[in-house]
Amino acid sequence: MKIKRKIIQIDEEKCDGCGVCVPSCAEGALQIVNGKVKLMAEKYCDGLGACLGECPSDALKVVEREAEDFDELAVEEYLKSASPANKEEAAMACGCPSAHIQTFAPARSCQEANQPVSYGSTPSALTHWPVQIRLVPPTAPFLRGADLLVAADCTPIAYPNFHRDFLNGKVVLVGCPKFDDVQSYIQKFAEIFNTAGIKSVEVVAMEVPCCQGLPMIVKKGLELSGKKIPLSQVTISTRGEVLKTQKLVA
Amino acid sequence: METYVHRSIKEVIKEFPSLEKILDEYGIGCGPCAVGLCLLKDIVSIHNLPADDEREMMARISQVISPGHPVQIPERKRKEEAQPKVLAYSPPVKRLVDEHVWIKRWIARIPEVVKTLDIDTEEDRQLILEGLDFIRTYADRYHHEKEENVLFKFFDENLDMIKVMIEDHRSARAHVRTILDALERKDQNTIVQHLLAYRGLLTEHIKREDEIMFPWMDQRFSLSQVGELFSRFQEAEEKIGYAPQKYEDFVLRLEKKYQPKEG
Amino acid sequence: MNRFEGCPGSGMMNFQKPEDAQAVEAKGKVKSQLRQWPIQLHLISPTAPYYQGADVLLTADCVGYALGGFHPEFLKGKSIAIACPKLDEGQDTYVEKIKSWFDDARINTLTVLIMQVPCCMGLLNIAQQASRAAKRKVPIKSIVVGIQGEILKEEWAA
Repeated sequence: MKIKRKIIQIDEEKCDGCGVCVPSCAEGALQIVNGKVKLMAEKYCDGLGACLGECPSDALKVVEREAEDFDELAVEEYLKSASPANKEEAAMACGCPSAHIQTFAPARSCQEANQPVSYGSTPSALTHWPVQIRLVPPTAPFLRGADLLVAADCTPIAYPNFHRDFLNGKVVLVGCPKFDDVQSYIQKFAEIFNTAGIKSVEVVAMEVPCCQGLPMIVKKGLELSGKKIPLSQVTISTRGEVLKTQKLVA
Repeated sequence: METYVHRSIKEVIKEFPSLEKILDEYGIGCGPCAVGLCLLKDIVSIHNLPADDEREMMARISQVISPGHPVQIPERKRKEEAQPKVLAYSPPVKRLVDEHVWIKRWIARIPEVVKTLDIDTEEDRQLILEGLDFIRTYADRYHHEKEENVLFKFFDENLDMIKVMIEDHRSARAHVRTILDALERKDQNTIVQHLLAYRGLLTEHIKREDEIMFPWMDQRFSLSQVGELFSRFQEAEEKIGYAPQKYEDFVLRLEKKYQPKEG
Repeated sequence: MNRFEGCPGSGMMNFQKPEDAQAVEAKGKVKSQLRQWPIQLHLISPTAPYYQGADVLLTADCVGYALGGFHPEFLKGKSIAIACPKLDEGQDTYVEKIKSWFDDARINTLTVLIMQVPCCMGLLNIAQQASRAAKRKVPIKSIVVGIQGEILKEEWAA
């Protein structure tokens, strides 16, 4: 039902699609579409203006006009059903739907909630330290002749059996292609592939578009090194399933 | 032996009196306890002895209860064990323990107060009134009500342990009524008698809560319940207008009066 | 064990145990306990629905790689955010976000899960800073994980 109320207004001239406002909306009402931020539906905007503080280009304003009333139930439905894989891929990492808010697991049952759990009942498959790409020198002894796993930061949180299905028997290097320095990573991987005698590489990344930067980084590093090493990629959904496995280099 | 771990400690010690001494050697002082309703297995788990001590103690108890059954008393070995997780009181429970400390500080002064008490003086009547105000407001309204209206509700109120605690609270309130009544009549003897009785009651009660009930409860709370307990305590305090400063100041004044050399 | 280079956070360690080569056996499908996205502290909105009144787990990035049973033992029943107190940029928003968890999202509890390396302590410090600044208090638990996946310490933090 349309009523006169406060609602967000986007100046598309000023908007450069950086996407900084997207995560600031708790309702997920703002999304990047075709390089500009759009209000997905009037009923998803509660007119609070939490997004205003985030815009570096002054493209957001709260105005009062005739609009669909805010519908909290509709927001709940929207958040439950939205999935980044269905959204248009943003050209730049900044507008990445990886920031789009999602809630999806069914509520846990009361009976389960207080079941005692003992720590350490599942062993860790990690065999070295550090794990962050930035902190591992190419000369690290544990890299010698290793089967390498390159993982995006979020993957063991999204995938429940990470140690058993990915880490077991491998050496892991960890980073974030959205927030970390891509060029320095490419250089480092090139050096590692050049000197460490890596036997194979598997890259595990999230389905969200900005995460696809990770296999790209590793591939570029491999090309730069000039070595021939089998390279494959696994894509994980935010719900913890393997979506896709593919060979990048045989 | 299996059946005995599920029996109350009072029963078990009655049948095997030598157990009292064995328990005492490991710092478990259940013998003199007037209640004695705790089950043997709960006592062992609450006291959280180091693994070696626990095994040794259980082996010795086993020998007493079922003599003739070959029991190995384990070799005591010094070992570097990885520190097991040691949790102190959870934050909401710690709040209650901190309040206990103030209550203990007040009742520690009761012997001195009653020694020099002259009920005919306005000053001393005022002192008794303030002491009663502390008991009724700080100890009862602020503290016991959090226990009765929030903490105990997380458990089955038919548990013997909880029934005992609630009974203690009732006895304490009865002492207060008696003292108030005696104050009207300027009956010094009754006042003294019941203040001392209150002190004895609360000392035991607080000890049992701090050393037994609170750890027992903390072992059973899930993380979520700790959060819930914490926020319900906050709500309860807001609702009653929690203002402990006045009562803490009272205790500090008393301490200054009766222990001027300290500190 | 190899030599440390400065900060133990970067110190190389290789502790391959030969007998544990098959430490992790196939057991069957395990359900994911994650019920939200995003998870990076940089990206999350502290008042998102899944934080309201929740038991929140604030985890250092590397913990998932050190803990074999992260999902059933730590994540279950909680909402999460991950961060790296050593390498992340723009950490000035972190205290604000955590404070917003306390005051606006009115979370139930906060568990801070970090590695034993000294640089990781920064995450607990940030959480405690936020707690001091917040109007509403919440029980905070800290858990320290060893590099080989063992729990070294678990205690209530002020």
